[in-house]
Amino acid sequence: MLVDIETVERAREGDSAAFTVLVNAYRRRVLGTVSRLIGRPDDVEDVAQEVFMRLYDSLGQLRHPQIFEPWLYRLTTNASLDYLRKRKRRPESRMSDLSEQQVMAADARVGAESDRDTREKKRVREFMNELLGQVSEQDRILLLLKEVEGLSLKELESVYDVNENALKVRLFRARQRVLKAFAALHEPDPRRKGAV
Amino acid sequence: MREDFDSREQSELNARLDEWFSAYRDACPQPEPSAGFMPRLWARIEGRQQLQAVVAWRRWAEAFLSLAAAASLFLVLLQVFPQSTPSYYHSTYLDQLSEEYGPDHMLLQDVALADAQTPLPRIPAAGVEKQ
Repeated sequence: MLVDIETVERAREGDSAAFTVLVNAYRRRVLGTVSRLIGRPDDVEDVAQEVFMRLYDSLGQLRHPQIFEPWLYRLTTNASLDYLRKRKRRPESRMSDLSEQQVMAADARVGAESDRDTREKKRVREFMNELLGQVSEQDRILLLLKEVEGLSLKELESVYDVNENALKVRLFRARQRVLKAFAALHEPDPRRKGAV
Repeated sequence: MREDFDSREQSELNARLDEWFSAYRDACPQPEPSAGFMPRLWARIEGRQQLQAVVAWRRWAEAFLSLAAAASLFLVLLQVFPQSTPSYYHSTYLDQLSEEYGPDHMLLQDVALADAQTPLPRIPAAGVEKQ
């Protein structure tokens, strides 16, 4: 955890300073997750703020501070899904534009990333957006949480509030659907740098 | 789209997909929060709390108004349709007695008249001796 249990406890009891500590500790992670889940840079911060507003409203219901992180992931996932339902649009339409802008901003900051790396990353993002755009939002988000965010099965159980077996079945099916789409797509080699 | 994969193809595909997920993880930029992130968040939280307070107050006000309207309607209905009162509320005590006791009624009246015609004894004033 990025904060100690006592901070979560104090925030749960209504301590505004502790809540601010929580937000400061987790906002970058939430922004990153929301960014990958919704894929629209203009709205990432709004959705992240919605996540923290929901956290503020529901923190009193968190019975065990130890599961704060899966709880926050659940709020993040739900807020992102709500956003996607409202938009009724697939995120991949603007994903590359967004990522490009962000990569350009990152390039400007560090000033060291080469054009080749930029193109390579863009290629990877475009391919994965195309691939994940072929399965449902639920499958896409589940796989992103597992494979990209790196959540463990235990954490995913808390996020989805299902038992391990049900979760494994869901993951297996989601992965099978992605694999079928993966096999059907003309796949560029991810190890071949700069192969656009 | 191929429907079936043999186990070898499946494991190769799985491995390649894992590589892609890994590459995707590295290719996704990490967005930075804007400078106004926290102030804007607190403003939104406070705005929502105020809105919730207004909504709660409005609910109470609506409930109170509904109750007042129902009470007013009840009072108006009471005025429009007055409750019919029994006849004995309009008669006097003696009328009721006469109805209930019949001939005894005259006796009671005589007693009453006799009592009324009999002068009350005079009470002597203090300090005046009796002759």
